[in-house]
Amino acid sequence: MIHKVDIAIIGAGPAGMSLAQSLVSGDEKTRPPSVAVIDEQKDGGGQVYRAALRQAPDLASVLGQEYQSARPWLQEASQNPDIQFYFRTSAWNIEPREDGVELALVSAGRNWRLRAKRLVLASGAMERPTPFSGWQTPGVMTMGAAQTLMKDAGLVPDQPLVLLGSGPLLYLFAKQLLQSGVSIQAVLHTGPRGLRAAAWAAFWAALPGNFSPLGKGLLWRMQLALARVPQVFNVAEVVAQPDPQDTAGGLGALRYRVGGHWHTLQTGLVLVHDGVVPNTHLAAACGCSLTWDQQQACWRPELDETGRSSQSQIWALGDGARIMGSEAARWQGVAMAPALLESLGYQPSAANLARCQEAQRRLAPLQRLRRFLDAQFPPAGAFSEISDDTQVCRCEAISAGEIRRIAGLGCSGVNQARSFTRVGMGPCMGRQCGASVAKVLAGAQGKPQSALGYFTVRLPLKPVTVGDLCALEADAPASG
Amino acid sequence: MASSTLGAQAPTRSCDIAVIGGGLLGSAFGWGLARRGQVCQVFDEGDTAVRTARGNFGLVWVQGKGLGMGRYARWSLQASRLWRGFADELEAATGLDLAYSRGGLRFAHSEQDLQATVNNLKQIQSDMVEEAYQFETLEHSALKKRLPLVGDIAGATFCEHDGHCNPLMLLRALHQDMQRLGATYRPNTKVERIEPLAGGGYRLLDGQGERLCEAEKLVIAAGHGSRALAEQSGIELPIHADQGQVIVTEKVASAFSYTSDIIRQTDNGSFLLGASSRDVGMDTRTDLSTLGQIARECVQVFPFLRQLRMQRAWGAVRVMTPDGFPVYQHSKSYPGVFSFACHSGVTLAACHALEAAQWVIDGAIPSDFDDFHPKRFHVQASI
Repeated sequence: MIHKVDIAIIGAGPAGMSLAQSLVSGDEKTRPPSVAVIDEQKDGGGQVYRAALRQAPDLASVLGQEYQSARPWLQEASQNPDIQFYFRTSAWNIEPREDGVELALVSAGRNWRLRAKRLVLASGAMERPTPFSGWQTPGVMTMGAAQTLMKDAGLVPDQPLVLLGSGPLLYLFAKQLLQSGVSIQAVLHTGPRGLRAAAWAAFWAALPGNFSPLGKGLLWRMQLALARVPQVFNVAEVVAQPDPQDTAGGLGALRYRVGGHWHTLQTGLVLVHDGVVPNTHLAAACGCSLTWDQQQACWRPELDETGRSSQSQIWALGDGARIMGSEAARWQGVAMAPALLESLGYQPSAANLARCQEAQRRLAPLQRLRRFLDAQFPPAGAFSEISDDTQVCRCEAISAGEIRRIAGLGCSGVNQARSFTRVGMGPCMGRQCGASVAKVLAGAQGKPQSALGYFTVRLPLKPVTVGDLCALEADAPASG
Repeated sequence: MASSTLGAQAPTRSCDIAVIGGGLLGSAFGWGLARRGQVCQVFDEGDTAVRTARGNFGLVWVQGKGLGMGRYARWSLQASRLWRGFADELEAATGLDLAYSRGGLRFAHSEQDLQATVNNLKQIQSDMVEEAYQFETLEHSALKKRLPLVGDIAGATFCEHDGHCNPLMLLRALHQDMQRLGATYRPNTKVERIEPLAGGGYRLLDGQGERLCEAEKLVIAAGHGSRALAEQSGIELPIHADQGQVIVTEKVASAFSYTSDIIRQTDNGSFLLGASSRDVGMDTRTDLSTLGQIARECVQVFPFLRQLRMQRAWGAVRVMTPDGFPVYQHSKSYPGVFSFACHSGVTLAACHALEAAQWVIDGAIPSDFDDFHPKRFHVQASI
C-alpha cells in the first residue's frame, strides 16, 4: 500500500515545523490539507534546536536563551493532531511524478512509500567543507559535529582544544565551551580582528531592527577576550600533523601561517568551522535547477518568490534554500503557507494571510543582518587555496593534486572528474567534496567555480540493501 | 605532455581529421588516429552531456552478439582477441589500470531460457562458419560446482572470449594518451554545422556560427548528438535511445571472478547489477520499479547479494539501432565524412582504435563491412 498526503515536508527544523503548523491552522470551516513531516531525528527542532524538546535544564541554559525560547512553539507544533510526524525516517528516493512526488522511505528498517501532491524541502544547512592538509587526521573535527554531541548527549571535550575558522557559530560555540568549563588553548581566526572594510556599510544598514543579535555577537567576542584565550587573526594556511608517538595517528600539532611566518601549536583536538551552506542534495536529486549564489559562494535551489522550484510540485525554504538563519527559517514557514495552499486549490484564510504579512515584515531586517554576516564572514582563504597533498575526497582518498592532474586533460566539470578519479563516489556521495573539487578544477583551468558544475545526485539518498529493493511494497508505519 | 586546449577559447585551426564526440567511440578513433601520426582534434560537449560512456557496464562481450549478422559476430570476436594487447598498450603508456579480465557467463533462470540461449549460440556458430568460437553449457549442478554461491537457476553458458574492464579508466586512458600522442581535446565545444570547403575538406561551426576548425576528414561519433550532423552530411543515422539502469553495491571481498551480462564484480569490490532496457527517450533517471526488477533477477542468481548495501544507481542511454547491430557509413555526397554508431563502445573500442581508424585514413570502409551500412534497413522495409 502506498500512503498518500497532500503535502510532505522533509525536515522538522524551524522551517519545516512552522510551515506545517501554518498549513493546518487556517480557517476552521474548511478541512485542512493532510500534512506529513519527515525527519531523521527522534523529534522536531532540526540541527539548530536539536534535542530542545528533551534538554536537561542546566545544559539548555548553556545553549542559550534563543535555544530555550524555541521550546514552547516547537512543543505546540509537535502536538498538533492535524500534522502526521514520521521521525527516525529517511527518504532514500524521490521520484517526481506528474501529479506530485513519490518518496521511498525507511523508518526503523521498514521500507514504505509516500505519495504527496507537493513536496517541501526544508533540509537545512550543512557545514562548508574545510579542506586543508591533514584534515583527515583523527582529532580534527567540525564545530557542528562537536556541538551536536553537546546538544544530544551533553558531551563536551575533556581535553584542551583549539578553535579554527570563522563565522558566528565560532563565537557562540566558544562561549558555550567556556561556560561548560572546557579549556580553549587558542582561537585561530581565518578572518581579521575587527570588521572587514567591505562589511561596514552592511553593518550600519543591519543595525536598525537587529540590536539584539548584533549585541549578542559583540558580547560573545568580549567574553572570549575576558577569558584571556589567546587569539590569532588572519590565519592564511593550516597543516594538521599527526603525533609521532601516537600509534593511532591522532593529531599532535597544528602548523599555521600568518603573513609570511609559520607557527606551531601542540594540540590533540581542533574544531573547525567556516560557516554553513544550503544542503542541496535532495533538491539536486529531485532534478530541481540549482543556481550559484555569488554572495554566499555556494549552490542553492533556484526558486520563485513563493519558494517554488523549477519542478512545480517541489518547493523549498529555510537554510536549505538560502542561508538566512533559524529565525528567518521560522518566518519563511509562515510566509510560504498561503501560496502553497493556493497551489493546491485551497483558499487561504484571512488569519493565514495576516500572519504571512507579519512574517514578511519580520524577514526584512533579518535579510539586512544576513548581508552583513555574508560580508563579514566570507569563505576563508585558508580552506580555499587547497594544497596538492590535501585530500579533497575523504571517502575515496583523492588528493587535490590528482584533480589538478586530470584538469590538464581538459576535464570539463565535476562529473567528468568523478568518472576519471572516483572522486565523490564514496558513501557521502559527493556531498562533502563537490564544492572542493570544483574549486580545484576551476583554479587549475582559470575558470569561475560555478562553471564546473555540481555532482549529478544518484539514488539512494540513504543506504538501503539490495534486499530492500527486492521487496519495495510495504505499509506505512503509524505516524507519531 | 602535449598542450591541451580548453573550451571555446581554442583558436580555429586546421587538422587532418576532426573527430566529433569524446565518448568511448570518439576517443577510440581519436587515439587510433593520433597513434598513426594523424593531426586530429576531438570535440566534446560539456560536463552534463548525455554521456553513454560514463554509464557503461564495462563488458567486453562476444557471447550471443551477432545473431542474424555473422559479420557483427566476427567483429565482436576480433575485438575480444585484440583487447588484451589494446589494454596492455594503453596501460603501459598511461600507468592506469584498466582491470581487464576474461571469462563470461550468461545465466539462464529456466530450462527454456537455457535451451533458447544454446540454440542462439549454435545458430551464430553456423553463421560464422570456420571462425566460430566455442562455448560451454553448464547445467545447474555443473554451474554450482564452479560457483558454489549460485542460487536456484537452471544453468548458464560460458564463453572464454567474454570479459570485463573498468570503462571509466578506459575512457580516461584514451583521453590521456591521445593527448600525449598530439591530439587536441576540445571539451565544452558542441559542433552544430559542417560546411564543405571549395578546395576539399570541411569547416566545423558551433551554434553561434563561430568557426571551430577546418579538417580534411571527419569522424562523426557523437552518439545521440550525431544524428543532426550526419543528416547535414548526407548520412542516414537510424538510432534511438535505449535506457539502461545499473545498481552499484558496497565494496566486498572478491566473490565472483568471472563476469556475466547482468552481474559483475569490479576490481575495487563493488558489484554492478544491471541490464535493464527501457524505451523512455533521453531520460537518464532511475525508477524504483526497474531497479526492483533488476535486484530480484540478480538475487535469484546470487542470493547473497540481498545482504549488500546499495551504494548508488544510475541510468544511461544506449545508442540503439533498429536491429541492434552497428551502423558504419562513409558519406557519398561528402567524401571523407564518416559516421560510426553502435551500443558496444567498450567491446569494439579495440577494433575502432586498431582497425577502423585506418579506414578513415585510407578514405574508405572495406567492402567486407557492407553489412554495417544502413541500406540494410531499406531492403527489409521493401520486403
